[in-house]
Amino acid sequence: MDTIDRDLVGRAMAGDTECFGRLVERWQARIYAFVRRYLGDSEEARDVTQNTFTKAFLRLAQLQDPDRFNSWLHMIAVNECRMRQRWGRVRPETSWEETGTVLESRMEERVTPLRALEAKERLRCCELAFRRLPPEQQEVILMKELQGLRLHEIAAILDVPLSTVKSRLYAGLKSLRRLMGEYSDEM
Amino acid sequence: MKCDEARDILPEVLYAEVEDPEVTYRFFRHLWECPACEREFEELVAVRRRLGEWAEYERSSAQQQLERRPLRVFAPRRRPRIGSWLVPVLQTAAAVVVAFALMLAAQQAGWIAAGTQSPEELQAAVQHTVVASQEEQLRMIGQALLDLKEEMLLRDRAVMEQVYGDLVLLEQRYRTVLEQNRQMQRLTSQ
Repeated sequence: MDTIDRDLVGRAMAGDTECFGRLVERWQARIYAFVRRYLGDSEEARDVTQNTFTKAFLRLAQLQDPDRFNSWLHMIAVNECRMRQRWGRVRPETSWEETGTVLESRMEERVTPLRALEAKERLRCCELAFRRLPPEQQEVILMKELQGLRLHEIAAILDVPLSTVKSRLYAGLKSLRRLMGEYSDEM
Repeated sequence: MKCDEARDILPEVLYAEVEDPEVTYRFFRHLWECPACEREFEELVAVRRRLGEWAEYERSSAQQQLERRPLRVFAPRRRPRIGSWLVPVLQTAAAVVVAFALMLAAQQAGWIAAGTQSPEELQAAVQHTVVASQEEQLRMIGQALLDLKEEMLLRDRAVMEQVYGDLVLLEQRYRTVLEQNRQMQRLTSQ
């Protein structure tokens, strides 16, 4: 967490709600990306992200250390996602057309259409393989790869020992390696 | 270092989270001596590369989605307190009543000299005070409605909607009464 975030969290905790608004602006894309992939449903992810920030605002007084805002916010997001999954409201979606659009807009003028297609297929393999992992491995991989959290932070968020995080991550990566190989062979 | 130990610290090495350089050195020395562990490590590095590309796509795709359709996350300007509007409204109303009573009492007691202010002028003055006060109260109710709308996003919806409904009725009542008083004001000033 950088000094701007630390400062904003400190001020928000002291009651400056404008600062909380700025924190929302700074963190919403990151949390939304995480929740969207966790649930695999963009609409639910929007709702869950909104709830995450609302709950964070209401529980701001419970945050003891501003430096732990990142982990704390993710903890709320993970709990919200788990709750949503328990309610069974989530229907995983696939939007490969969108994948193409995003990639093309990012890669235009830099890569040939063939390269873009290859990149799209690689992402598709990754996505399909990821979805076949057990939820506890998905959680850890998302937090590590997408959010860049440190292993001990993930352990704190999930409330499990560090060794559990490491073994889930190791098993998840190994499974991904195997599954990606299967999907690549199919194509 | 043995294979089991190497596998145990492999995630930390993969994500560069080993704090002790000596441990990292021993890990890579083991890879040099153990082709099976070396192959496994290389495979996981390749998986990480693929995941990195995927994560980058996920982040930029999420960003684009939010730019196209922003979230309606509650970003409060300030934290309204229920009932914060009630005290000033009652204070203003009380001030108007007291001022009116004092003016009547003063006139009755003859403290206000006859001829200084005719009954019509007095009525117009009181009417002006009432209208000004009600305009202020109406403005405050409007502000309270805005505050409550924000508060409703945060608190129990059922309770807040009840309060919101009550305030809307109160606002309508004030609007009607204020209109009547404005008409009265226009009549008295004619």
